[in-house]
Amino acid sequence: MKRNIIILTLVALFFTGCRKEADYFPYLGEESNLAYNSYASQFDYLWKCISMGYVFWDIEKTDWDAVYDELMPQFEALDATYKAGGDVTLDDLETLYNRALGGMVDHHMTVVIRNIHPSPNDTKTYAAFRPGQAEVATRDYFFESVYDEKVSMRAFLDGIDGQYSLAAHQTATVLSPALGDSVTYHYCLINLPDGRQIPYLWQSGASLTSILPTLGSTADAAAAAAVVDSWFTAATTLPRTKLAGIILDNRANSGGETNDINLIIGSFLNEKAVWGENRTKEGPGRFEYTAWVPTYVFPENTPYHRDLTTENIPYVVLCDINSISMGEIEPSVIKTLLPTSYIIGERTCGATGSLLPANNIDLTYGGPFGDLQKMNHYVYTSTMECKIGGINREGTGLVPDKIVNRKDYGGSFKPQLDEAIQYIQGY
Amino acid sequence: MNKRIIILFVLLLSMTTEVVNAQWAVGIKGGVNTTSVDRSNAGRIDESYSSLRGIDLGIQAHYSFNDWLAIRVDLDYMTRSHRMDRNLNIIDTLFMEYSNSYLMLPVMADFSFGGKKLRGHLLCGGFAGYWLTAHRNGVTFSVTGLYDTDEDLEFNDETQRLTAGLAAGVSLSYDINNWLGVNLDALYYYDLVSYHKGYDHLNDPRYLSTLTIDLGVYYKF
Repeated sequence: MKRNIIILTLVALFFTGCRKEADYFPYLGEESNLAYNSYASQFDYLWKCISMGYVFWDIEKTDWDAVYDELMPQFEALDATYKAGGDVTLDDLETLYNRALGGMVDHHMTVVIRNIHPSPNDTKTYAAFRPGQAEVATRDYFFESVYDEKVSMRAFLDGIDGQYSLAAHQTATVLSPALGDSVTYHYCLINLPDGRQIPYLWQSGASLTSILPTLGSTADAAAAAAVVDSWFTAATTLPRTKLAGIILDNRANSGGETNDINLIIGSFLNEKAVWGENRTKEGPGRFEYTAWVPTYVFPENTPYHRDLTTENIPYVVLCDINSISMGEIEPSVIKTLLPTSYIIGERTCGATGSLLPANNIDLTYGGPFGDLQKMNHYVYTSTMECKIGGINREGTGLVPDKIVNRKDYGGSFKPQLDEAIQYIQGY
Repeated sequence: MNKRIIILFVLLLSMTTEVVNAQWAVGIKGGVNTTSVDRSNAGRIDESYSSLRGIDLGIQAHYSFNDWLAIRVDLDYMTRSHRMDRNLNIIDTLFMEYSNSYLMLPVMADFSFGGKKLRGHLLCGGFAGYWLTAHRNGVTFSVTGLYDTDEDLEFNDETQRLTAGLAAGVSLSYDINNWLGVNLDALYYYDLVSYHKGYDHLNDPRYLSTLTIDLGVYYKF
């Protein structure tokens, strides 16, 4: 018996060595200078970081493991070319990284790669990849890229006085402290032939939360706050007999602050409501997520209030292919929470995941990482996955109640607005 | 791995002796357990894992070859639970308790010694298991603050529901009469299959180990 126990003990010890060790995992929040010594190691590092930190693996169609198997030999071939004295250009890198990232569903995603051995034939040392924007440009109703559209939209609104009967028109552009970018607002009070009026607001970004409390702090902020205040005041105080409906124009709105939902939607609700659910990663596994956490809109956090549902006032939102992030989340939430809402325009971009600054990676295991100043890469990617009304619209965007594509009208902004006014008139 | 299984089989065969007084016993058992997780800190920050208690309920079967060697086969429903705490400088209140239920099938050689009624047992062998359900509750991070969660989890492509490993322990049995007995087991389950499948180029195995203390009663044929 003693012999048998010794044998079994040896067998047990033999098997206890069968537990495997984990592979090397990079830390997404790494801030030290990562000195890659090869194109293959750069790709390996980024592939692993995206495998761990990307938040859309549950809906992603890219086979990330097949990407590695296919492309790693080709990055190794680039290393061989360089070692043999050859030149590796940004074009070479772009070809491979476009194949890796080209199908990614994250429509916020931008990956910037520095050529670790800059080519004398290139005028710059890095290349940027934006798979979401590349996908948007392939849609059959695509008309203009976002920054061109902002310019065109401003020109359209600058000349709006001659096209509609307006009781008021104010505009202001302000440098948003939250976005680090300028945001333009246009407020119009549109007169209808029957004497009723429609308060209209265009916002090129979502930054009301930052701008309204800074009323008076700078001339720009005060002017922008006054424009926004005019729209809210008209929308919430005009007598019902005078108010035909309200229009929020989110075309070419490239997004911004999540808390704007309290103003844009909360001002027209009676009580706190769930506007959506968000979740982040919870670990390095592709499917390690936190729970879906409900996120609320708080009507009490806004100085304006009118119950549009009870008064049966139509709330029309204009959106288009360049309504991005909060620019499309807002109409999605309005559509979900306000029965009198109506969405007109184009299917939106589909960049619905929220982002947090990179210093939140310790908590979220995902989101933007890297730093082009300190490292050879920067990856701008969503921190959170978002569902509104139970629907995850990442990559697909919001489909309006009434589709009116600018492309069908030579790019004019007017038909979508005309459709909104007609809808309200006939409501 | 195949080689190891063959070696194990040959060694077990070498221990068999002439079967005399073969006897069956079957019974039920129940008790408590504690489960720990063995995983690296790969890609993670300030996480610590600790054991949580679970329960065992099952049936047991013994087949005696002689007065010192038997084979023991159990079928257990077992909750194998553990806790993860985040110890970040900014937030130290995040935690999650994972409660997983498994169906476990240990098959062990049972070496016994002692008197006629009161006997000690050394048990060693292996087990196969199947992950039945997953549940978690705790406090997680959200964009609007901390959030209490309590939910069943769905299995996904990373989940390895089948497991296997080593099972070993000690037991004390007492034959009340010729047909009824009770036993007290302390068994250790050492998983050799990660419950996370991992990937070819990014493998992150995580293993469970469970210590069970069970009280059983058996009927001898």
